[in-house]
Amino acid sequence: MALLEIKGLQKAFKDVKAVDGVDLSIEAQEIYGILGPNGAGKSTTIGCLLGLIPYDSGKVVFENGAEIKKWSKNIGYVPQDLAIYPDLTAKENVRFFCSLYGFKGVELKQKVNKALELVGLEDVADKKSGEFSGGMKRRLNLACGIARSPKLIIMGEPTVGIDPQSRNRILENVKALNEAGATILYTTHYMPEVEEICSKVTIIDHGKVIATGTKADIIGQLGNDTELTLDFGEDADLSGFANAAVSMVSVHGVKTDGGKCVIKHSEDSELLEKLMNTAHKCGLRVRSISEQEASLEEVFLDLTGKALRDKK
Amino acid sequence: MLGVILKKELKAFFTNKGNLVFMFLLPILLISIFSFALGDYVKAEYGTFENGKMLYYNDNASSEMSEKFALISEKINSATGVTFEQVADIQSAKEQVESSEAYGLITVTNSGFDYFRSEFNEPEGGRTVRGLFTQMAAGSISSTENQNIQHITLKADKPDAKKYYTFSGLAFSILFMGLLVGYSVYDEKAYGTITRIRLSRTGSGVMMFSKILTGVICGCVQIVSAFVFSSLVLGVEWGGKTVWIFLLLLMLVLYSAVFGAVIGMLSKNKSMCQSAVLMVSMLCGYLGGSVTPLYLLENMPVLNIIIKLSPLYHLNRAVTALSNNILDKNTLYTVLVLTGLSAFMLILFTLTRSKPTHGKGAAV
Repeated sequence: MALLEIKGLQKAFKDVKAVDGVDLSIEAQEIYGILGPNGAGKSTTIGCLLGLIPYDSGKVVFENGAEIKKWSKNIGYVPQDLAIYPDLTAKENVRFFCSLYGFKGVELKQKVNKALELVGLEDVADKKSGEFSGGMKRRLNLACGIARSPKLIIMGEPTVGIDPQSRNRILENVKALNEAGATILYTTHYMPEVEEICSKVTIIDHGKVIATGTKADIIGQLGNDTELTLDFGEDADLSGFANAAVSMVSVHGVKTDGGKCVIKHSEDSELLEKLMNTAHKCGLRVRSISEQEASLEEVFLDLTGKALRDKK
Repeated sequence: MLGVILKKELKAFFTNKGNLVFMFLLPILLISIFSFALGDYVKAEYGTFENGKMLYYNDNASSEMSEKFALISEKINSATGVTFEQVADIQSAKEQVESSEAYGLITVTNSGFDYFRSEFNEPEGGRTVRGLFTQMAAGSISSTENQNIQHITLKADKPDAKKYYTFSGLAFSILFMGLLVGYSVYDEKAYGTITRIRLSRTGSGVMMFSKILTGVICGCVQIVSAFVFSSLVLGVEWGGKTVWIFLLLLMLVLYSAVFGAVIGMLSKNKSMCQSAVLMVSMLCGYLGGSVTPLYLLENMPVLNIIIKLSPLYHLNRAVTALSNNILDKNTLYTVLVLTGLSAFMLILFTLTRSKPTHGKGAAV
């Protein structure tokens, strides 16, 4: 059963359609990634589903058909921009945001300590957060959103601008929270993070969903090519081989780089044998062969284009 | 939830050294600086007839007019103590009047009396004498006598610089307190914490209320610290209507906190918040007599109308009267002005907030 269902969500700011008919369905206990370049409509979608931005049309329902007003207590939000008080200590920050939901006494204390421990800030719990490093602030930001153990945790690019250690810790935290039963909605434009933690992904661009499913589904749906690299050594003359290779049916592109020939191809179980024979005919000796499947990043760039997305 | 947010607000406010300095030191500094540096503005004689002097010049007036003048001046002198001094040089007499050394210059002529006064520096006592003289000169002297004497008694209070600036300086610093509330509200937006509060059961309305309440608590601390300082250090007596004075100042605190909170919420950046609160506070302060005494402002053409737009003008008038144990309609009027302004700001804020046009979104 879906924990969150978004259907035909639309939101326009004057003449600009920020969200244009987005459909999403997030099952309980999965880590769901929303990918998209800057300005794709990720933040507006999140704002709409959280009830922070009024949407023009569509439907957002949570578990058992509940609307945001009734269900918001089950949501933990970890915004992209830090949402913590620099004048308060780490403990005071977490305690404050947790107590807004009615927690108090021993239960509150336990939740605060557990959250700080999870993000590795228990040793600096009584230090003012204004004195923290960027990574520590990000982890505190996470602790403030998850301390009360919400069912659904929505994270907006939680690893922006931090060191690899803090990033790694946050990703571990996300997995741990998921293992503990939380459903995670994770928005980012960092492909490796999505590949590492998300079980399902939706790619959004120009306010529209352009691909959705598991990583394998998306790569499969879009029929992306595999790259085969044949290394013939520095002095090899590859012109004849390249011409022969490009005429093969399953080959979609050939690039030569020094003594290397990079061949983009669709699935063909006999291709390697054909290439080896051609090489032999051209008097070339293959030193090494490597194959690389299309990454999500390549799929992403294929789908969204390589042009910069600076706001005009 | 209000308790949770209020606790956090008070903790954040009272652990910030800058806020503490602002809260405790600003009223004391303003009161001290204004009392000593601007003390000459508010002389001890201001508003009384002490050392009051009128000048007159007899321009070959008939004996009838001279006698009438003598009779009027005698009546005024016996009622107020103001002396009448004859001069021979009109020009130097006018210079004395312009520099507030004398209330005015009366030239007695065959056809009547010419009354010369300073347009900008006429003291309160001089205004009263001018009123008396005009009435007596226009009508029968004996028939207006009782009414005039009653009027004089009411005006015979004696505010001094320390007393005046205790109230006006405190009111000025209370207005500036709105800046702290404005910053605090704006920071919730800048830090993004307001989003978390909106998503919780609490909502942003409770947050605004707690910010205003924090401002009111801090304002009360300001009032108490100014009361202690002025009473113990400056020896200012707040009079028998101190509770009323506290009430009026509390209404000003409420207005200041509401104004700061609303500006903080509507501002798009911190400098906009700062500029708006400071500009309004400075204008209200200057026009309301926080720096220049009200009697000077009230004597300036055009400005004497504009100053009435400042809530501090009404407050300073009412508080000055209350400190002299006079509870009049000005007090009630000031309460209404300050309450009305606070309500207006809140209504304006409610109206300017965007409403969701569709879906279940909250206003942002």
